[in-house]
Amino acid sequence: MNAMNDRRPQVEYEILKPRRPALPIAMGSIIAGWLGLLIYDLAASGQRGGLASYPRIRMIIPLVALIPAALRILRSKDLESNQQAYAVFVRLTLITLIACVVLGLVTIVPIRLTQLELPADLLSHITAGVAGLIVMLALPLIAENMAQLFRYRTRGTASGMSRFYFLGLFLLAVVAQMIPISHEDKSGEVFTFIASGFSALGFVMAVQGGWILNLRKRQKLKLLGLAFIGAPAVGTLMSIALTSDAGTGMLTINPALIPLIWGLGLSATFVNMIIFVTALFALPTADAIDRRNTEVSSLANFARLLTQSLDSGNLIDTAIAIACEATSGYAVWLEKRDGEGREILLGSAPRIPSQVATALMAAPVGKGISIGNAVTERRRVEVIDRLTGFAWSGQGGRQEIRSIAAAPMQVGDDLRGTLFVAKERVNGFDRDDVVVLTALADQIALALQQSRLIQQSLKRERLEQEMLIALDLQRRLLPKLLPQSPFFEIHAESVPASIVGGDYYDVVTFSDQTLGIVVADVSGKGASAALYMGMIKGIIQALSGRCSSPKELLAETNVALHGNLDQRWFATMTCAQIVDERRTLRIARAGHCPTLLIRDGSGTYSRSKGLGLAICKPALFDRNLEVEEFVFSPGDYAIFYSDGLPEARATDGEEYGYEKLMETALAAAGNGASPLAMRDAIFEQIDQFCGTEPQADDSTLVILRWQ
Amino acid sequence: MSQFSLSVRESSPAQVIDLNGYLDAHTAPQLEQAFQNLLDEKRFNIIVNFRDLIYISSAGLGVFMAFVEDVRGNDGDIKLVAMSPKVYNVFDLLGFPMLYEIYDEEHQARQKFLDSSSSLD
Repeated sequence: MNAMNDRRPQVEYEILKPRRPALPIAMGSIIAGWLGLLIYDLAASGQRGGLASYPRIRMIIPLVALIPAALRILRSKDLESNQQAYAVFVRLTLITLIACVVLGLVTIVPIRLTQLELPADLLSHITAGVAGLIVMLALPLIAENMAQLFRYRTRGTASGMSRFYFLGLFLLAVVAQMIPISHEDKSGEVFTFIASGFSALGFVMAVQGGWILNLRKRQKLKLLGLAFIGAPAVGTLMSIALTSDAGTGMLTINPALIPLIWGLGLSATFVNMIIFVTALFALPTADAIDRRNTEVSSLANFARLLTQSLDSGNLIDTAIAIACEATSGYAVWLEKRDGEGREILLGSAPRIPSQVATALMAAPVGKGISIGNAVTERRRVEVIDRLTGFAWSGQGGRQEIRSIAAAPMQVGDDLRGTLFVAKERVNGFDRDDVVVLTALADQIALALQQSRLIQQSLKRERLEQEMLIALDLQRRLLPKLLPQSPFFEIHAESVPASIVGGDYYDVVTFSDQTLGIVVADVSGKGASAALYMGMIKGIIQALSGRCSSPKELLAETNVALHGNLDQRWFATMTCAQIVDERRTLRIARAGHCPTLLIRDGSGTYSRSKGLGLAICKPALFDRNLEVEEFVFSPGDYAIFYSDGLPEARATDGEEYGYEKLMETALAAAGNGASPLAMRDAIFEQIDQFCGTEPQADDSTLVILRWQ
Repeated sequence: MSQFSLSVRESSPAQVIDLNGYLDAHTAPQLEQAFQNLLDEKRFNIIVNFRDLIYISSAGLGVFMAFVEDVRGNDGDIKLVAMSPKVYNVFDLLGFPMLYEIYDEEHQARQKFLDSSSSLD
């Protein structure tokens, strides 16, 4: 037992041992004080002779040396768990035993040494000195561990009382130094009596043995043994210290030890006796308490697991470990069922070969039905008490499964799988096991479900992040500035149906410095559409400076796109060149929606010939591409849009259509609406038409009005 | 959400794919699979009947583009028949009539296949 380890609560990741600098200092101080006393005595004996004549005040020296140790006792931390209390008691017994043995040896040695005819005077002085040192070292250690035991699980006054107890003992020892002890007066006996009174306090405090009840059975047995040895060990220690030659010599040197030995010794004896009795009475219920403790801890573990089941592999290992612990099973595995079928999960460190597990699942329970199927059908825990023939030879030699239990893992009425527990002995499962298994199996099913949900939501979150990036990218692709002119006004807007759409509009500059407007619809949606859009923007911006007309730009764009992409992919585009910013547009249409023109209060769709981009070979594309030129007057409009507008769908499936689009635009134009006002009118009409029906396609609108 | 179904039948010398409902990004893979199956069976005379198709999106259009080169490379063709005006408008806007033979009636397309096969003989 390493005394260093049990002082503070252990944290898993703390590799360094908690430091305890006070211990060497306390022990060093005691040794130094005691040696100082002995050397002083030796030096002084040469001059005067006779210990009794020395000033009593000198004996305060070893007591002063005890102060660091006493402070340690007062400052020592409270225990936090039954396991720590257990460790403290083990330590206490070990210290007592060691002190007992060493002190015993010291008292034996002088007998042999006497035969060497050393000066008996010096020899007894040395033996007494060594004995005193051992006692001086052992007392604070014993006192410290007892103080911790006394304080454990006590609050308020009881805790204060234990401090008073040790402080009182210490003061008693100091006072004992101040009064001369001789054969005439009885002050020694008086101190002994008072010290014994203190030990009665110790007895009261020693009754705090409740922690023993919650220890594991093995620990209780060990406590029983330790206390059985401990009580006589303390007694022996006391009798050697108080009655042996070395002991009495030591007490002559330092009578202050008398009350300490009496007080602590009796208390320690009480502690041992009480622990012995408590452990003895706790033994019959030990099995039940062990079981309850593991169940409680397993369920607590599992509840914790539920909240952090991020890693399903880890989750299964933990579930298996918990089921093993809660049922004292030899091997545990799960059969998981989901939409994809069944899967046997043995965990990352299986204790049973998968063939044996599979064979066990087919073991018959009753007439012609395997245990696995029985659980699936009856939805309850099934047990086979006696099995033969399920043996294998593993690393640990021959292993055999003699009994098995299986429990359905359900979430609500939904069967998610089966939990199997196998044991090496027959009749391995009692009624409690069945109860635990039922609860555990459902807990595991819940945890697995939770884990899956978490995975799904993580995935969804990632996708959403990706979409947001794509949306941002797409927004950057749209032009920040639209052409400005005293002769016309432009408004442009694109509304994606989902987060990211396939619509795109842009402003280009042709080789003759005329401006152009491009509206395009890229097939596909989401992130891929945004990427294609970025590519098209790059192509158009690169080519427009080399092209002098919409037809040329579209033809060149088709060359660039054709054959470079997925065969299924295409784009449609309308390109309008502002040939004369006062009144003329030149428009070419590559498969895109026809441009809506409103001139002199009447509307037309400009549906010039033209194939979509990336649909066919350049020769065919070029041959079929027409360009039309239109002349406008102030108050006329050119409206470019994407198919999201005419194909906007109402709840009954009806499409908004080209006719309504034109009607709405004409009505707005009749009022002399600005491009922005016309946009509002069109979107408002479409919203009214569609109601709450979610739209499948993006809506893009570029409106140009002459003024 | 979107309802779509298709069936494939033989109408010698061609295979006819009947489309029904809404053909969009979600349902296009079904049509793609149907084409792929026909190509795997080395049947390259394909008629697609649009009689019961209500809506086609750009993803639906993409399917035809994906297979037409393969089919034509094997001396076959994809002919489109019986489109509603609305569906035809979508094809027409894109210029598909310049790339595909589109007929009002299925038998016209079938006759065309018969004519071309007899001319080969």
